[in-house]
Amino acid sequence: MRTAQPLQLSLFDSDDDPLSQLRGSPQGQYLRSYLADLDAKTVLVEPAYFDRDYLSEFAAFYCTSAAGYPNVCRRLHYFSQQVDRNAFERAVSGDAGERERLTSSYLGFIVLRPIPKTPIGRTVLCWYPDAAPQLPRVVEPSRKYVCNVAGLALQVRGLAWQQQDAGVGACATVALWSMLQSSAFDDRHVVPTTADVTRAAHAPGMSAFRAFPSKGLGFGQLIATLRDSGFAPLVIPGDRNGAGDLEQFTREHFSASLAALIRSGYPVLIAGMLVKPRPAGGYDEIGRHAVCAVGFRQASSMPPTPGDLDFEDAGTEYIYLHDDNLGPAARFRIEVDASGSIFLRATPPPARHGLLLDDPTISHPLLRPSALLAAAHDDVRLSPDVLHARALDLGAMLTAATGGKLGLTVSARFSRLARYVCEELERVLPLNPTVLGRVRLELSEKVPPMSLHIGVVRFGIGPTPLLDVLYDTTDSEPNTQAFCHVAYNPAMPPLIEHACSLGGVDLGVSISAF
Amino acid sequence: MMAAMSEAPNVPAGTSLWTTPASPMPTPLKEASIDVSVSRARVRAAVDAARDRANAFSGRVTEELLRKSF
Repeated sequence: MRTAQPLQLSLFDSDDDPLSQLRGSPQGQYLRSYLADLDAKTVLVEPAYFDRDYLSEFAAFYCTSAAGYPNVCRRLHYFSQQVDRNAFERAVSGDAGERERLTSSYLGFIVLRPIPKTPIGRTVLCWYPDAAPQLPRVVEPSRKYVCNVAGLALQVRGLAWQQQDAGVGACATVALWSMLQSSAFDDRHVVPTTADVTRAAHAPGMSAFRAFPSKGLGFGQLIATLRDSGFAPLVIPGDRNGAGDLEQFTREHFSASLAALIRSGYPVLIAGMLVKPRPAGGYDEIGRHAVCAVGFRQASSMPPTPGDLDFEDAGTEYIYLHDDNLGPAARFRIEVDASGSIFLRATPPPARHGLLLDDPTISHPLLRPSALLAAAHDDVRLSPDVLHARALDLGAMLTAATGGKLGLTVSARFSRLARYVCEELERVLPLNPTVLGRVRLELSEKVPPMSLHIGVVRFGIGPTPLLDVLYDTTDSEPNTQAFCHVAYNPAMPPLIEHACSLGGVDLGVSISAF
Repeated sequence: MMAAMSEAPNVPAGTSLWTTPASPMPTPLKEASIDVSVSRARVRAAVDAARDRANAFSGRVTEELLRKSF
């Protein structure tokens, strides 16, 4: 039997901080740096923690190993305040002030598995403060995690990440596991463990190989695993044939698709090729890899040239990836090579801390994306590609009908109908409660019953919204119809009526929001 | 020296379609006025001209992609 051990409180990055023992791994270096930037001061170590994900891995693989792995982990909790034993005792004794000091300074947790080479298990750390709220970091998939330590409830908002162990999970397994943690699925399911994912991907008929140890998953296995787990797989393949054996993306297609999915709360598995640039030009391919995109920095909008249609999200510069080779929420920059294909480069901004740490991103290879995969709600049968193609058609009609005077900006997302009516409309119509109320009532009373999730295509001039078109997400692609459209300027209803009659499309019920 | 993962404080300024309210005192937008001389054929031609760009958004999943391991 195991014996009880006390909780340990130590200074962050001291010799007693278990994370400081992971200096040899890029993930350990990354996490130390991330926490240093969050101004971590204290680590609280739970020396014996039964982790659901590790127990599942243990049952699937490690329990039958001759190495004799234990089934218990350690869990590390980090705080941005100095916390000593007396303060912690006061907090768990009900001292409201001390409890508030601890909970408000909580930065998140790291589970350390008893696996020597790949110890970093489920990890959730908070995002660092957003320095540009006018162009926010879009982290819609993040959700709340609650840890309970001696009766102290510690909450952190993020999305779980872990290092692949190559026994139960490969990079794609871990990326898929992170995807399914999303806040978008809070209301419907239990998050599968990595062992569940690997097992589902090796169901009869899906693979000729053994499930464990895991050597990676085929893209077809990933899609089938999502489908069999009750999700709708949304697949977006690259739109360019490149020099290698995988498709590649143009910037517009990649950025618009990724942003539409993440804005909808769906993390995105990015499958692609790791490459290293050759000094003489071109790239050496290192191997295929999968990561999970969990956020992006909202791009700004400039007024478009008259007659043009700009995808606002095509300007996206930074995305945030859970990369099992690096760490959670690593910032990557979208860059375009001479052939017009994009690749992703780990691009951390300048440090805020003064620690001397090796930079794991320096040697990190570039990732050239070739396909995107997201798990949507089962009733969502529409890909963002369809929304974007409809946006291009409609934008062309509207601008042509003005004789080329009008230039438009466009962006798209999926949304629960209730969320659109409650939150999105309030954000776009904050200064006119009378109009807000009228629009909400007309959506309820004049529009035929809408689907639980809708596709929203927003047109504007630069950043100023002019029109939302609300699409049914539950039909087949050719039959996809707009339920209605919400116009924010008096010039739009007559223009829409005229352009749509010339172009032969129906945008559903017209609602005036001005 | 480790370049940390914090956010740069000097990200570009501006706003976006999802963070900007609609104009509170809207007057009809001049640029959005109808040009009555534009024919149905011209509108259809504009849609056709955008079709190549739209085709990028209609990628097909190949058998080859399905077989690749990650």
